[in-house]
Amino acid sequence: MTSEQNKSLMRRFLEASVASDQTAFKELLASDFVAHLAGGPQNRETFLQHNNVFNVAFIDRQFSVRDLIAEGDKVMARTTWRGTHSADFRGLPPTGKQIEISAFIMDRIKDGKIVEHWSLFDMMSMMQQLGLFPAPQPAR
Amino acid sequence: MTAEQNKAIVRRFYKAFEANDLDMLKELLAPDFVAYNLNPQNRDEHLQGIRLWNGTFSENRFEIIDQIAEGDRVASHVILRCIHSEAPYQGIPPSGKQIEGPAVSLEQIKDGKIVERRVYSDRLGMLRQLGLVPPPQADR
Repeated sequence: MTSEQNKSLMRRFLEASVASDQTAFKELLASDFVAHLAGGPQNRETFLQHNNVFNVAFIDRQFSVRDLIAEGDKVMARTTWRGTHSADFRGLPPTGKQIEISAFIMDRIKDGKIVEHWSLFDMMSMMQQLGLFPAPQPAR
Repeated sequence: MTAEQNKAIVRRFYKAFEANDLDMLKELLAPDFVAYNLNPQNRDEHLQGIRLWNGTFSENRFEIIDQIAEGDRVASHVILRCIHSEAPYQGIPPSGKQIEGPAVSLEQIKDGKIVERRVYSDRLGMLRQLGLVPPPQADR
């Protein structure tokens, strides 16, 4: 796999994530896929369930890729994630608010499939935009 | 500059941050440096932010888990560990608690100096560890 192929795989992964495209996920994620999330490691099935929590609560989801860096078997994407809060999310009834947060996604690719995945979503900003957390923090 | 040289510059930046070596940090950042944090910061503002952080948290350690470089850009995946021991942070008095969290930084290097940084850390996770935010439900 070249860096360009790995970048294209990352773009397809981001599209599958917001589209909740289970067929694409099966193609893109290796059977021994591991996602390193804030709550701990997830396998392919638990990762897809986790992804679905957001896809159920938000509509009009979109990843905008701001930067894409590839080297060897890894790709990193700096993105902006958008979604409109349209259904219950962690007990919060739909607010109709459009949320926009930054997210870093990193994937390791082997034999044309994603074998490892890391992500950092700015959940604090999401909570602030949803009104679940008080006033924005001062810049440090 | 090669990708490996650019990665080494970013590693030197993190070492100087740990050591609170502001002269070295200033040398590593270009005069027209910009950090895109919550608000954009110029070089002096960024150095001031680091001084403030090091005056609040002690024993800052950045464990660099991974670096990916392409062209003039370097992405670093790090784990930050530090102790809230020195001064209040967002109204919380120093507790002696050790906190730990993932961060990703994206640096652009030009002529051996960092011209741009974008950093995202798990701010929500760190505030939870400091006791400011209730425990997680389903972070992504």
